Amino acid sequence: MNLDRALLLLYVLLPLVAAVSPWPKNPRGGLFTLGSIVSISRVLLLFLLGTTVISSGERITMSGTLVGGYPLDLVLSLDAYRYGFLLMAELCFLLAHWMCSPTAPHRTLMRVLISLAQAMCALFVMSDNSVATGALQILAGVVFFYLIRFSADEKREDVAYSISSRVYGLFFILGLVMIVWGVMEFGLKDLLFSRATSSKTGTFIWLCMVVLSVPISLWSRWFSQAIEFLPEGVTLSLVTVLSAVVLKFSSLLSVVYPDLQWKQKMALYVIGIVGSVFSISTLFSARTRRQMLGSLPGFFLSLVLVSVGVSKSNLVISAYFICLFVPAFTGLILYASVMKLSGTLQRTFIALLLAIVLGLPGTPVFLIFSAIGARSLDLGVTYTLVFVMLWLLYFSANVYICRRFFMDKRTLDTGVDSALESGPTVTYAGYGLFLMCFLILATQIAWRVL
Amino acid sequence: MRGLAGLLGTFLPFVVLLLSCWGPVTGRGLWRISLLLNLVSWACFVFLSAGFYTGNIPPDGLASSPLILAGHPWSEGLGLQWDFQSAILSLAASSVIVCFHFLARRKLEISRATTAGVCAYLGCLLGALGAGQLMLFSIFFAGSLLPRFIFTGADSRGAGINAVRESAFLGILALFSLLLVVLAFSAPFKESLSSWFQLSSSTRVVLPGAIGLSLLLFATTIGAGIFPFHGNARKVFELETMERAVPLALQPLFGFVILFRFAVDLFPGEFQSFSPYLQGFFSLALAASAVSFFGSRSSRERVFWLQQAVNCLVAVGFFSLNRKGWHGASVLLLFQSLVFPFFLIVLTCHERRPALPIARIAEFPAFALTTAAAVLFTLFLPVSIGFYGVLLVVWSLVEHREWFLPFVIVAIPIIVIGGITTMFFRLGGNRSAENKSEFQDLTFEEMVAIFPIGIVLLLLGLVPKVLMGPMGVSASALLKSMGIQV
Repeated sequence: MNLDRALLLLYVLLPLVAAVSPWPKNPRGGLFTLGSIVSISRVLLLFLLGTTVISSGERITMSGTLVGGYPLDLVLSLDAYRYGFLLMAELCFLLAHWMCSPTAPHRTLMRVLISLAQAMCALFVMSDNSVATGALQILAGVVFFYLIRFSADEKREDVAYSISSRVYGLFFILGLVMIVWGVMEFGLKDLLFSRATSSKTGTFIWLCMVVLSVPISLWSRWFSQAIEFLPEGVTLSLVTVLSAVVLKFSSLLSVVYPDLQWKQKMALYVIGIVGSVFSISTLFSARTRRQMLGSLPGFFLSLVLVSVGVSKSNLVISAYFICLFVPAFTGLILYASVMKLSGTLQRTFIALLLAIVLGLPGTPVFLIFSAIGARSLDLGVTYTLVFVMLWLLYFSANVYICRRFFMDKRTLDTGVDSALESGPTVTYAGYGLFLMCFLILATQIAWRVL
Repeated sequence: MRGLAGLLGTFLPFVVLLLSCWGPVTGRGLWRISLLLNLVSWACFVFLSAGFYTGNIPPDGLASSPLILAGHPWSEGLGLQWDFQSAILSLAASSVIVCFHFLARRKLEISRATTAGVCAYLGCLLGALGAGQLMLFSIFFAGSLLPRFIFTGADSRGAGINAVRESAFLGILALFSLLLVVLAFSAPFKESLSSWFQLSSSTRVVLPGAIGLSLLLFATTIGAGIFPFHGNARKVFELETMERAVPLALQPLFGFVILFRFAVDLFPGEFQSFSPYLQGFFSLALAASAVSFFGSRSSRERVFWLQQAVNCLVAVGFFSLNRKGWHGASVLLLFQSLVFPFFLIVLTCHERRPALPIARIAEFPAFALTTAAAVLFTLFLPVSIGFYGVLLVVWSLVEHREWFLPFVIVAIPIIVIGGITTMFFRLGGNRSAENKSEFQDLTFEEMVAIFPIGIVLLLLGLVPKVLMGPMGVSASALLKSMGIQV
């Protein structure tokens, strides 16, 4: 085993070790809990692996047999594409660990479950075996079922029960469908993701999986409820794993169905447009800051379908940027929705956040819209008109957010009783600023490398 | 040597029966001796199973008992023999009874009949698992009926007595049909006694194989308590306490041993013809079980329907008559022989306690951990070996795209999604709400009853190849020996 593989193995095992470790999980909170130390270690490990994955452009692979006699293996591989997402995900999980309130019920259990979610997320993104990927998705659903269920206080037990059941159901169905689809498409080979023989059933199942994985507000009310009611650490972990799921399913386009027909792309495009319009329109009727800002992740995730719908090249770069951007963005808005704008650091944080949300040149939102816009121009007048209308709607939403935040005399209620409000400003606002700068840097590097 | 260990392991539990009848040994003393002998029996099966890993016995080979129970008219002698699957199943059954000793210590100390009944039942089950011939199997099956009725019926009242009575009637019917098959279709009686079964006096017409297969399936479904005779198994869940249901969760092993060991061997042609229909039948039964599971109102009902669903999956895999299906069915058979006793032990612990609000569950870590583990393992999620069993069974169907595949695929999410949201939070929901006594975490004895099986299930789920590798080889060998292309 060479050093890179050893580092990758350590990277995979660290959160699992943290989860089962009998050492105290520091229930009082603070910067250095076991979970946050593991996250920092994983970020450092990724930096070490970066020399091979980014500088040399190589792929690190690792595999282990689950059942002999069948191609039921856990095959993990790390390339530049996955590396970028995992780095951002680890930084978000670090924030999630910090966001866990030291006074929350079942706080120790929550930290253990967030560590497990962290492990599942990385394994899911790196997995190349279709059955193992489906199994990991099911396991992630179980982790979130318990995490959401135990994180809620007694007043919100019913809401937590409803959200946890839906998240578990969704993850289980996606996992099961992934397994059945994998057996159908790759069962005669090695179950690894590879170019399919373009059977209609297989393509249809994949399209269903992509659509199901995106929390479109029409049928995914649980997503907006999760952002509104769940503790911030749990919400951030959920959105990070959900982004990983969306990234995985959308990236299969380039591997399995590079020659997707235009009708199928059109279906994704229409669903994506409808989903994003519905998500952004809920912003105007929001009663709280959390509701208002919470509609944006749903909007961006719906844009993944639009990106796949207009894609030409195999690599859907705008979908990748969205999945990179959404977890970090969610972490930032969760904090922005509860802060009181009292100090300079907090004001700088909000200003930079709004600049990013607005989509100034160089920011991830700019790259996302420019990639979709360029393809819409190529596809003709109808696509261009729809894109312009969507962008105008988004722009109006941004103006509305700025107005409600800075100009209205009647400021919006935060909508939640959060421990973040009284938390250390440097940890949240300072780390948020770092995260935003890192996000801009990461997307710029990804734009050039991928 | 390994065969001798198997033989010793099978007959040691009967010593407890003799000691119980003897008289002077009672109470705690009898419990200790029973535990010790069952532990020795368990160690014997560990030794036997280890032989398949050390290379002492090839994975597709057999370990034969040195004791020949009968010679003539059997050409190869009537004796016990174990392949990998039966050795592992025996080990699982033995482990369950050892754990049961801790769960039901008080009951076993008070009632000699229960101690004797449980041990004799285990001995008969182990004998049936090791039986190489249908005749020997029938003897052990017959032997299991009486102890079973004794330990389920002891101190029972009302519904419990009725349950025992009805089960006894059906058990005797199953035995009768088994004996008919032994006499009419199995060697060495087939040739010598065929004239007994003449349908016409002019020419010698023996019973058609289809009737033999039907009789065997009848015995199987009653023996295992599966659809359409699931009412027989349901009686178990009407007992006053779930404690006594733990050994009875091993009952499906009797039925499925008939299928795996003897059915294809005795009726190869009929099996090939009827298998697709039976597969479709059990797929529909699986869907029905899943729906019933979803609509269940109490934990006992849920466990019952879940067990039915797993039984149907075993049958679907078995009737596929291909390697993946058999492998999956074998894995599921082992899975259910461990997981349902485990779940019932946890359920017993729940029923012994008052209701606990979800907000307080983390205050009792052992209770919370075992409850969550019971649900996760039972619902064949990827941390349990049942996941791989279900996967292989579904895989065997996907390849041929049979008409009943959607029923199987739809049934699984119904069970798993419905299960996790209901089984955890309403586990033991049928207990009296009036019981307001102080809640206590698991006692030491309850933990000793729960943790060994829980740890084994977790390890098997995390490293499935340890068990599934040899089990796959064994399943392939069994299919090949029956002339079925793998």
